[in-house]
Amino acid sequence: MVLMFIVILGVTMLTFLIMHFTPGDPAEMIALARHGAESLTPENIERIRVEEGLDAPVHIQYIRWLQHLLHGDLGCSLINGEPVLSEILDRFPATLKLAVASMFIALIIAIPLGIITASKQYSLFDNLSMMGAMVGVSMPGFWFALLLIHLFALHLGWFPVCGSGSFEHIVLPALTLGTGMAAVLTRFTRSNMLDALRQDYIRTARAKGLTEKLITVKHALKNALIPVITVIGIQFGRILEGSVIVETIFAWPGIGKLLVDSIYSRDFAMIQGGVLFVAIIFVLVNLFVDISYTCLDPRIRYEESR
Amino acid sequence: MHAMAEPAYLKNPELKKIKKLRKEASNLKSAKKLTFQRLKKNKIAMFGLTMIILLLFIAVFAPWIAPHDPIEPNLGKRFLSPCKEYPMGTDDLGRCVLSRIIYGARVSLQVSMTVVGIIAVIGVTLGLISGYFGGTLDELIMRFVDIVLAFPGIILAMAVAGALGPGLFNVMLALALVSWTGFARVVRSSVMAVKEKEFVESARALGCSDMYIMTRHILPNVITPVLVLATLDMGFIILAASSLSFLGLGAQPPIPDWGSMLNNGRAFMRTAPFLTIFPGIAITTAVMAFNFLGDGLRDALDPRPQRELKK
Repeated sequence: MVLMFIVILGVTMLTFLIMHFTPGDPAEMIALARHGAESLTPENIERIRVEEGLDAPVHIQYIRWLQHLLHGDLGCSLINGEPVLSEILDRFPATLKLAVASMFIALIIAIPLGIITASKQYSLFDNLSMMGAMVGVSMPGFWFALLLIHLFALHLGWFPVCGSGSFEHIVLPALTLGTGMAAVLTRFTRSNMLDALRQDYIRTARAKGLTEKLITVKHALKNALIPVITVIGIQFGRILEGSVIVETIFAWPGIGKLLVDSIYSRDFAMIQGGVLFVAIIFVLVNLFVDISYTCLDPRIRYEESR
Repeated sequence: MHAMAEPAYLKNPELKKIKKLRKEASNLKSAKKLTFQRLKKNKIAMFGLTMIILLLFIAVFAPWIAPHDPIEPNLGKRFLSPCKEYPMGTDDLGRCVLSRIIYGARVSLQVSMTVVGIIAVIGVTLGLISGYFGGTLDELIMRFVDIVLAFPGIILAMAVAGALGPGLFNVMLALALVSWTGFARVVRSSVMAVKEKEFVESARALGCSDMYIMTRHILPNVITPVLVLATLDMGFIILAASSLSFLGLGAQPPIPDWGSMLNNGRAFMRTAPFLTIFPGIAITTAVMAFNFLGDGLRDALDPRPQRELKK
């Protein structure tokens, strides 16, 4: 538990340091953003510097930021003045929707494929699927997005190119993220199923005369799925990474796009707040995965209760 | 020296089998040789290796292979579809796409080799220290790894690259800062396994210094997963670097880089789709080659019998 806080704290410190050592004067940039180029007089810049507390040394600025944080105040965006926290919370549901949709697509593809290819190892279907998965893993996500846009939006006109709002808008972005993840998950599921199917208890089950289908689903699958769920949890965190690019391409108004925009516009407060938020989500997801791993694998439970 | 004449009894055809076994026995030289043999048998891995060599060749001999100048704009010939003179068409400044892709191979390979080299050195060093000394030092280093990993990688790389400004060097720096953790972790767990072995204990009993033990004894024994990770990471870094270039943070115009070519072509998708198709194929092919080789290496170094499931 304490470790988590230290890690999150470390993350914010790292971000703060990076932002601080950016070449370029933040006070200048604020003046530019807020009042336009005419206001770039030395007095104005100095005034803003004092106002925003940018004249204090780094560690003081950091401590002040932490103090604000403890009051639940993440500051205001340096560009448009909106409170950081509300901006983030506004955008988060969109990213969440995208994440869930992508995960859904990934699981629908990966789990059945993984199971089937494992039970039909070395068949044509297996080889084709593995080749497809390899392409999926090596393909740049943004390129796949462009291909999808090209085919489905520009040529066939089935889906809109970008934006959000209706069901059609989520299909292409979710497909992009989902297939990337599906490639990884399929390979992982397959190798875990292969491991499970080689175990002795499967031989016992076969010797007992159970049907192949029953063995696959009831015995092998359950055991193979446990590490897979762990990976799913970790991949859920990685969706945040993928969503950065996908949201930018499809103009999807989520956290990823918010972070990219604020990095471009050097909006420090937003970057700090955004990164903190994402780091917390990451840590929470990992924690959740750890807990569920303990619950799902009865062997671990028994060991702990001894 | 001449091979000895075969003993007379071995000329008997029934005993040819013994001859064959003797020959095979002398072929089993070392684990290294076994690994190479396994690797060579893996057709996919060999295919990957061939592609990588091809890629290297293209990168090194680019000036002689590329049909046109990749940088010089040629405004009279913009947006030409693929044809005989320009097999992959021309871009918005009239430059030959094929030539740019060929030169782009240089950029991609330079970036990935540099970054992988750096992170291998950093990661292996930290992993060695962390695994060997253990204790508080280990805890500290591992917490630092956790902190770096708590960032979504791309975002941290973007933040660093954004902070430092666009350009290939900054992108390499950013990617290096983010990706060294894999090596550290892998080396650390290998080191912790090797540390307990007898030869380490005896080296210590002989009075060897820690540094000596780490470099001469432990390091050679943990190098194999490092090789696998390095190969796979080459592909991963090419992907990551192209993503950053796509976002505008990497190679700046007019340097030909696959990611920025994709970014450029994005605006002309309706009229000139080939601008986005070919660079993407280049990236995918390069990454696949490294993945093939890396997977093959991993299987060759740590073979798990994947026999047919007996029904």
